[in-house]
Parts: sequence; structure tokens; C-alpha cells
Amino acid sequence: MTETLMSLVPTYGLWLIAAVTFLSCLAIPVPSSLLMVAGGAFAASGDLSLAATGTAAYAGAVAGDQTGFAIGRKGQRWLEKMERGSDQRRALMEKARAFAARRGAIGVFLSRWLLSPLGPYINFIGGATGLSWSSFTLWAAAGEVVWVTTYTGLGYFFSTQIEMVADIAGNISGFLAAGAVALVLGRYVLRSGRENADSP
Amino acid sequence: MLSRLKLAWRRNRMMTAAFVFAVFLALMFAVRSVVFVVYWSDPDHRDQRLETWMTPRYIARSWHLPDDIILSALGLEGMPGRRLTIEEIARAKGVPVQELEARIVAAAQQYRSRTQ
Repeated sequence: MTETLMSLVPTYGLWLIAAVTFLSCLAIPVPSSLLMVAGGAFAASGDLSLAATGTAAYAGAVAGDQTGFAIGRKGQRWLEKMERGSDQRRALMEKARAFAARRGAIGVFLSRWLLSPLGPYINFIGGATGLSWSSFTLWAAAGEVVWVTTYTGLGYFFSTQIEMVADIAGNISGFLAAGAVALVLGRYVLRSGRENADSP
Repeated sequence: MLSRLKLAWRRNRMMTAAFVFAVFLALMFAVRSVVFVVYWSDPDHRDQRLETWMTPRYIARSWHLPDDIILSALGLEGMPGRRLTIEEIARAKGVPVQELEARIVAAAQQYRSRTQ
């Protein structure tokens, strides 16, 4: 599939890159980083324009973030219905909302680039927990600048070794995302594993 | 630490399982990163193989050759040669991809032996 997508880059270039970054913000597994790297590399060889490639990737990503957030907002109503059924659920949602309000902005920003595999889920969760739209939009737009610049830039400067760049960058970003999730869950789990921890 | 994890497991299976899985994933990605860095630091692995998605200009850049060496090997002199992949060129010319690849390799060798 990667091979086929790659061969479409020179032909459909900008549209393809925009479509792929859009879909990847909705948790659809498409190789967006590889294609951004490829776009950067084709820009270096003169087949595509660097500015246009970056703009297309950025437009797709920002539109994808907004769509994911809107989907989360839709889900909010459904969650509210669920909450009415149980006190426990209501308490959990309250916690989630408080966390989103407290740490949402930095979470949105970092999940665009440093922890990018988490990005799409943060979009849905952000919308569902009632994170403010203006703050979401601001931090998401800022984070996507870093994401798009990093990957198209890597492709541009390492244009002769894009497979290498995509392999290494992909694994490092997977490591960072899984590591961040492990840290957050680990804190929670170890706390609940304390002898005197209240509530099961 | 282990006893805490056991207690946590008894109290909250889902979260504990998710935590263990995340640790496992992180380790797997760490190992893969190291493997790729080692693999790619071998200079033999750095020359990119010809792939059907590559454009003539991309190959020229990738192999450090002037554009027109590749273009003339493909019989595309004077053509823009832009944004067409090897596969598309082969289809348009009605020749197998392998033949174009062979021509490119031959032209690259010839150019390199001339300039060295």
C-alpha cells in the first residue's frame, strides 16, 4: 500500500498529501509522515514546490483536527445521556473535564507533533470533554506547524534517504507516544496499587 | 513495585492491562528505533534501490547525477520529464519497467566511469 501511495505522490502531489494528513487526524491509519517526507523529497528534486507541499499538508491537518473535534462535540451529547445513568460515570466525566480544562492546551499542542500518534484521539476527547474551541484551534494550529515543518523539512533535507528518515522518525514517534501513555497510566495504576488506596 | 502492580491488577484490571501493554509497545518501538539506526548506519544500505514510484529527477538527485543523464537514458531529452514516475513512463512507452531500470543503471555506471 505504501508503494502504491508513493507512486501517486508525483501525480496527485498536493491533493494526496492534504487528503492523507486530513485522514490521519481522524485516526485513519494512513502513512501521513512517510508521504510528507516524500513530498519534501520531491520538492527537493524539483518535482513539487516546497511551499505548496507544506501548505497542502498543513491545510489537510488543520481541517482534520477541526473535523475530529466536531465529531467529539457530537459525541458529547451522547456522553451526557450516559452520565445521567450512573454517578460513577458522572464522576469520571467530571474528572476528565477538569483535566481537559487544566492541561488541555498543552496536551493538544504536544499531541500534534511530539506525541503525534495520540493526536486524533485528543481531537475526539477534546471535543467530547467540552474543551474550548478557540483554545483547541489555537494550539492545534500551532502544533501542526511544527508537525508539518518537521516532516516535510526532513524529507527536503534528507531527500536521498527518505526510507531511512521515515523508518527512524516513525519509530521514535511511536516510542514517545507509547511512553507518554505508559507514564500517565503508570502513575494512575501505581497509585491505585497502594495498600491504603481508597476505593477499588 | 511488583506487589503494587499485583494489587492494582486486582483492583483495576483494564487500566493495569493497558499500562502493561503501553510499556510493551514503548519497549518495542525503542528496540525498533535502535535496529533501524544500526541498519541505516551501514553505508551499503544507504543507496536507494530504484522503485517504480520514483521520478527521473528524484533518481538523479538520489544517485547524485545530473538530471539529463537519467532523462536521456529514458529517451526523454527535451521533454519536461516532470512528475512522471518510472512506471508511468514505462506504460507510456510500452516497455517493461525492468528495461527502463536497466537503462538507468547502465547510464549511471557509464557516467560515473567517465567522471572518475
